Amino acid sequence: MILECVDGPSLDSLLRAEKKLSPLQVVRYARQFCAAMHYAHTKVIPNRGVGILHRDIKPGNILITRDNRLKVTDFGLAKLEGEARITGEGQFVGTIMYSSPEQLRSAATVGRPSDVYSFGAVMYQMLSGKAPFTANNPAELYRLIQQVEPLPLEELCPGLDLALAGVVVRCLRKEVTDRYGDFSELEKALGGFEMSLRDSKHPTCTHCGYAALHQQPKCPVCGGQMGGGAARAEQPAAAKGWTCVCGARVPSQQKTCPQCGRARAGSTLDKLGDDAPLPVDADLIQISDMHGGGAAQAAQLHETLLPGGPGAMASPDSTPGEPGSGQEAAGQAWDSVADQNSIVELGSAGRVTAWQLDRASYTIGRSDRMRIRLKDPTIATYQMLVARLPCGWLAMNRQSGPFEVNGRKTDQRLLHTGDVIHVGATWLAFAGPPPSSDPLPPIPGNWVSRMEPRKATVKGGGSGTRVEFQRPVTCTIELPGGAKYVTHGEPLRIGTSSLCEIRMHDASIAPLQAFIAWQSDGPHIFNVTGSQVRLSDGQVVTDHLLMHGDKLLVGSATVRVQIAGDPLAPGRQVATAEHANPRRMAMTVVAGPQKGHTATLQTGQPMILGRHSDCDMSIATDPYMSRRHLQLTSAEGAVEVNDLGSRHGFAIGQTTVSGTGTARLGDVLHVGQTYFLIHFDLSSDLTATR
Amino acid sequence: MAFTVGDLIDGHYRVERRFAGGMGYVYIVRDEMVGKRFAIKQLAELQATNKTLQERFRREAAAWLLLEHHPHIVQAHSYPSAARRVTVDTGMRRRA
Repeated sequence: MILECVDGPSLDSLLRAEKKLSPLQVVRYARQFCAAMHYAHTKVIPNRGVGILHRDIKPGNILITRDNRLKVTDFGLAKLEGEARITGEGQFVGTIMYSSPEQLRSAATVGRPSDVYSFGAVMYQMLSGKAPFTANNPAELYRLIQQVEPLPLEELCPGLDLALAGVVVRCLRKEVTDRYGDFSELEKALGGFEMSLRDSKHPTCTHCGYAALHQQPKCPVCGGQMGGGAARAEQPAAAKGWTCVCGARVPSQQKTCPQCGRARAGSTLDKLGDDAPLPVDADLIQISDMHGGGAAQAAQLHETLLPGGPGAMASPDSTPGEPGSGQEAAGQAWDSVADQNSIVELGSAGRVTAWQLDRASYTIGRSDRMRIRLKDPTIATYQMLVARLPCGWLAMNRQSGPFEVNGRKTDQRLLHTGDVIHVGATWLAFAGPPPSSDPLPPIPGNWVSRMEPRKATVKGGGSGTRVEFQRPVTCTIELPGGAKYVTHGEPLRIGTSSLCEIRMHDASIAPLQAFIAWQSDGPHIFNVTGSQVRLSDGQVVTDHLLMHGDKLLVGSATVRVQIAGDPLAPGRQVATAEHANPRRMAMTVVAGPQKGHTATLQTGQPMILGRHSDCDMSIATDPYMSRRHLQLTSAEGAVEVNDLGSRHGFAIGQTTVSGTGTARLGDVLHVGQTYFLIHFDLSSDLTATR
Repeated sequence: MAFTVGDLIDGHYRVERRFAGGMGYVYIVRDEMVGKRFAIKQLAELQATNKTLQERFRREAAAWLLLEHHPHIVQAHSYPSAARRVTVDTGMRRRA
């Protein structure tokens, strides 16, 4: 058989010389490998069907050219070679080291995921210096591959990006269906890492570009000279610093701007790798997704949604009070984005800018590296993150100041269709599929209900103290036709969109024009898009405390406000009661041996987590979990975690906790090899909103 | 049935280096007709005598040959009924 001649080492000999490769080089090789295998797997071959499996992926069958490009060799010969090896002596172990569990059981039934597994094992070795399983005899190796989870990569290579470790671990799953289905999926998962790793200061060969883990005089690939690395780290001190919102350049040692006194808005993107919050499965949250061309994507979306390009929606000419064509177009655009979950920026003139959410996570900020870029000087370069979780989209704050959802300050919240997010000077709405004709689902969350007490009777409740009240403090909004909308504390949205509680068929107002939300002093109206909401004296409303008898001009309609049990009336005693949270906490295994397993915590009933079958939640297949590991107790929007004297302890997010800790909504609880996501039990809610 | 450095395979592939691989030998050869280097893979002698194995080697190799040029796949150029031709063409062969 006559083959192309490749001048260069095999990955096998490169690994023997280097032991470990740098994550950057691993990702580069891996992406080239994925491209090759995707081509081979999808190539139509006459009389043979589609695709050719490799079946013997191992470092020895991967060659590196002198200009540091990867080449795959020995296609489709695996079966033959397996037979050949059996006749040899002591060679057999080497061959099955990278074989998938199903390949060892029956070579006839393997598919693309088997090749994915083998390459996962190769990636594991490139990163850690060791194959996932090693043993002295084939029988032992066979058992390890079939039954045992490999040592966590992050233990073998400290400082490794946990999301990258997650990608490798997913390739190495025992169950075929748990892995990436093919190399195009794997390629996609690896897509974002190169960008973030490029900044790491690896010594780089000046000739072929090989990025080594350690400084060395000669390049192991081409024999050229190694450079870069440390030299790149030393930048002139003058260049270090940050730019304040006011435009002043401030040295990095100072935390506040000397000119305007503002605190530093936010960390830079480079910090992202260090404090990325959720070390969960890559398909759930791709931390790597945070980097990259959000602007391009937004532009593309503009192109498809709003023919005429960005800005076509804006109607700077439309004057307040007039039915502007901008709003009509905005309404259409809103309806067209509302088929899929999207984040919609509510512009001042009713302009709508939409980003469809079809990836695992989106960053929101001022930098052009953000997927959702907001041109708002009052927000940080990297302000917040929305991530797709099993229970819905979670918005998380990445900056010191919290953002607001429906008028309530928060650091993280699950988003529901129609939620209005206020960050900096920008209003965003979370739009989703149009609701069915059923009544709108209640807005979840803890809303303060304002009540007048009858005789402040205090009752001990199961999960909180309840005060009974006679008459709720209500805010009633009356529309011209006589339709009335009442709120005791939950927000009401006003606009032309079908998701608004107060829907007005008025072409001059925006799909989501304003909303009413309760603050500590009473109901406020927040106008989010433009000047279409005015008081009767003509004053334009942005944030206004509603009083009994107020008349509001919303678009061309006059809206009356009635407040019963006015909280501000003199001499009247008003109490507020925080409703006991009706939602139960739940935890789902997002990565680990029993991925997808969910447990709901009962109020006031501690749950024991461990390996033993008697535990309330038993993860028997996690070797790093103690027999009785943790006791979990449900609390308000959080789970109290008590260590029951386990061997390996636990971590919340990336912080190792000893003894007792609190895992809040959206946190990731790391126990043994299992990662749990803490979330509300939304099983009933999801059916209502989706 | 193996070649050594200096042998001429098929009349125009001059063996420059030889490696023993898992399933046979890999030769780095220079095609003296076009002046270009190639690699030649040869089944080990043990299998070269096994007809069914030879047939399967040929069939598997055919699939690899059908993969067109890809920047990250070692290209297979031809399978000159390798096992037979290479072993039968003994004109320039010397015992290893």
